Amino acid sequence: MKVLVLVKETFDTEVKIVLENEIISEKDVKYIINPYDEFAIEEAIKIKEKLGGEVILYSVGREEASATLKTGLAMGADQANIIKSNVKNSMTVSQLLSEAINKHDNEFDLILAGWVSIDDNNAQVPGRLSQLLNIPFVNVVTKVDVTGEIVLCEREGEGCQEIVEVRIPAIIAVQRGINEPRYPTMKNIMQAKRKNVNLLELTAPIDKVKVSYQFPEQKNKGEIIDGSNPEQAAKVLVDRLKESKIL
Amino acid sequence: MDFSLNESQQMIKDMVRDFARNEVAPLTSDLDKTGDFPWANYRKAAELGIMGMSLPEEIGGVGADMVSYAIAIEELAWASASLADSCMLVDMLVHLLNKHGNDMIKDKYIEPLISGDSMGCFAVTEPEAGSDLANIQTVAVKAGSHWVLNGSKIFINNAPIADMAIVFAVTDKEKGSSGGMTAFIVEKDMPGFIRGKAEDLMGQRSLKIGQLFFEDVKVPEENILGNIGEGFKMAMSVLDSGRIEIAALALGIAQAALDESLKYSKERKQFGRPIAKFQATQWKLANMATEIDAARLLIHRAAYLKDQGKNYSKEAAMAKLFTSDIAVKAVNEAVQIHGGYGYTKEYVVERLYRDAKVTQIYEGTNEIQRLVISRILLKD
Repeated sequence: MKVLVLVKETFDTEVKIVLENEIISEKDVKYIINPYDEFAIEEAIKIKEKLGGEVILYSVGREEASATLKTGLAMGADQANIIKSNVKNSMTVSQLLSEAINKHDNEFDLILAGWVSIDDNNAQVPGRLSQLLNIPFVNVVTKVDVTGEIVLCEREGEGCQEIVEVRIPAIIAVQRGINEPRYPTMKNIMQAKRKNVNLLELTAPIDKVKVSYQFPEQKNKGEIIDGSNPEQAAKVLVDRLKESKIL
Repeated sequence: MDFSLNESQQMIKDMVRDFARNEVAPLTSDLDKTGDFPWANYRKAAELGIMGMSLPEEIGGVGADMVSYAIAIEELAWASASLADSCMLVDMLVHLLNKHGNDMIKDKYIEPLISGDSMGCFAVTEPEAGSDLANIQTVAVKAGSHWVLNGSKIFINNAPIADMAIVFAVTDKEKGSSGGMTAFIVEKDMPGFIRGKAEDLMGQRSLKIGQLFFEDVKVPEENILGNIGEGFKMAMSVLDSGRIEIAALALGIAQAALDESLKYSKERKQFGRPIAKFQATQWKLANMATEIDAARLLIHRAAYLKDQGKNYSKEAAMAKLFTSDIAVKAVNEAVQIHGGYGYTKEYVVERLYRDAKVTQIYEGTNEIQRLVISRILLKD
C-alpha cells in the first residue's frame, strides 16, 4: 500500500513569534512538523507495518524544511518530497501538491493529512486537494481501518459516532486522538540521515493571494471587583457598566 | 568554526528531550521519594535505543558520536539524573565487553544489557580503594580451570539488582597496578557471590548503589575479560570518557535548576512585583546562565576531541571539574531564589540540590580532576 502524507512545517508555538513587515520573522524560530500531521505520519506508518508498502511525505515550503521532514523519516517514513515554494495560501498549495502527486506518485492508495495546521488554522488543503485529484475525502477522522480496497473511517459526529466507508484512493484528514505519535528511535534517526529528501521544483500557478500577518489587538485586562461585600460590589459593577455605556 | 549541532545531533536532542520531558519528568519526584529504580522508563529508554547509543551498529548500537551522546545525557539528566546514570552505565559496560571480551562474552552479555533485560555493574571501588584505585584488596587465585575470588566492593552502581558484574581483582600482588589486576565477569547465581542492599542516598535516589561480597566464588577461566593483568589499564581506560558523561549529567541538573528558577522568578511576587524584576534575582540568573553555557562549551569541546580521535584527557577532566562545580552552585542559587518553598519537596529544586552534590564526587573526585589537569599541564 502506498500512502502519501501531507506535511506542513510550522513554528514551534513555544517560541515567541516576531513580525517583520507583516511576515513572521525566521530569526530564532524553531520549526516543527505540524502536530496534526504527526498523527497522520504515525497512522501511515501503522498502515505500512500492518499491510506493507511505503510512506512518502509531501510538503510545500522552504528548502530548509528537509531538516524538519527528517523527523518524519526518523519516525519510519521512507521518502520525503519538498515542493519548493513560498506560497502560503491553501489554494495554490493544493494546486502544487496535486501537480506533484500526479507527476511522481499518481498510483498512490491513500493520502493522509492532519485536518488542520496550528499556524493558520485554515483546514483547507486536504479538501481542496481531493477536488483537484477527484477522489473522496473524509475529514476529522479519529480511527482508520484499512481492509483491502475499503477504508472504514470513524469520526465524531454531533452526539454520535459516524463511520464512513470509502474506497481507495482517498484522502483522509485525521484528528487528535487517533494515535500517539511514536518517538523516533536512535536507530531510525541514524537511518534518516541516509534517506533523501527530494526537492521538487514546479512552476507555481500564478499566486493572486497576498498573505500577511498581524497580531490580534491586545485585550484590556479585566477588572476583578472585590466581592466580600455583595451590596458594595453590585454598586461598583453597575457603575462600571454605566461608564462603559452598556447600561 | 561551527558551534551548531548537525542534523542528527539536533534530532537526537529533540527526541531525548521530548522523551525526558513527557515520560521521565512526571515520575521523577515520586521515584525520588520511594527510592525505587525507574524500571518503566529504563525499558522505554532501551526501546528508543538510548542505551548503548554510542556503540557500533554491528553490536546493536547506533554508532552515535560523543557529542550526540553528551547531548542525550544532558537532556535525560534534566528530567532524572538517576535514569541518565543508569543508561550511561550500560554504555560503559558494553563498550568494555565489546572491546575486551571473547566471543562467548560478547554473545552472552551484550544484547541483554542493551535491551534492558539484564542489569550489569562495574565493580572496582572498595572500602580502602576509592581514588586510590591501585589499592584494591579483592583477590583472585587460580585453581585448575577456575579462578577463586574473595573480597568485597562498595558504592557499586546497580550492585543490588545486577545480573552480572565486571569485577576487578588482584591476580598478582607483586605487580600491583602494573600488570597485577584482572577483570572477571561474575554472574549473580555463582555460589559465594552476595549482593548487598541498596544504600539510602542523599540524591539521585533511584540509583541502586550497594556492596558486593565474594566468598570463594568460582569463576571459569573463559570469564576473564581481556588478558590477565590488564585490569588496571582497563579500569582507567573508561575514566576519560566517563568524565565527559558525568559532566553532561551535571549540566542537565544545572540547566533544570536555571529553568525552574526562570519560571519561578517570573511567577513569585514580592513587594508587588515578580522577583525577576529585582536585580538581586537577575544577577543570580545571569551568572547561572553564563556558567552553564561555559560548561556546555567545555563538554562539547571534550566530546568533539574524542570524536576526532585526539587526546582529550585534560579537556574531559576540565569539563567534569567545572560543570559539577557550577551545577552545585546553580542548584544552591536555585533554592535561594525559591526561598522557603525551595526547601520543601513540593519544588523540583529541592531534589536538584541533592542530586547535584555527587557529581563532584563520583567518576573521580574534583580533587582528582585537578590532579589530572595539573599533571598534564606540568608534564615536560
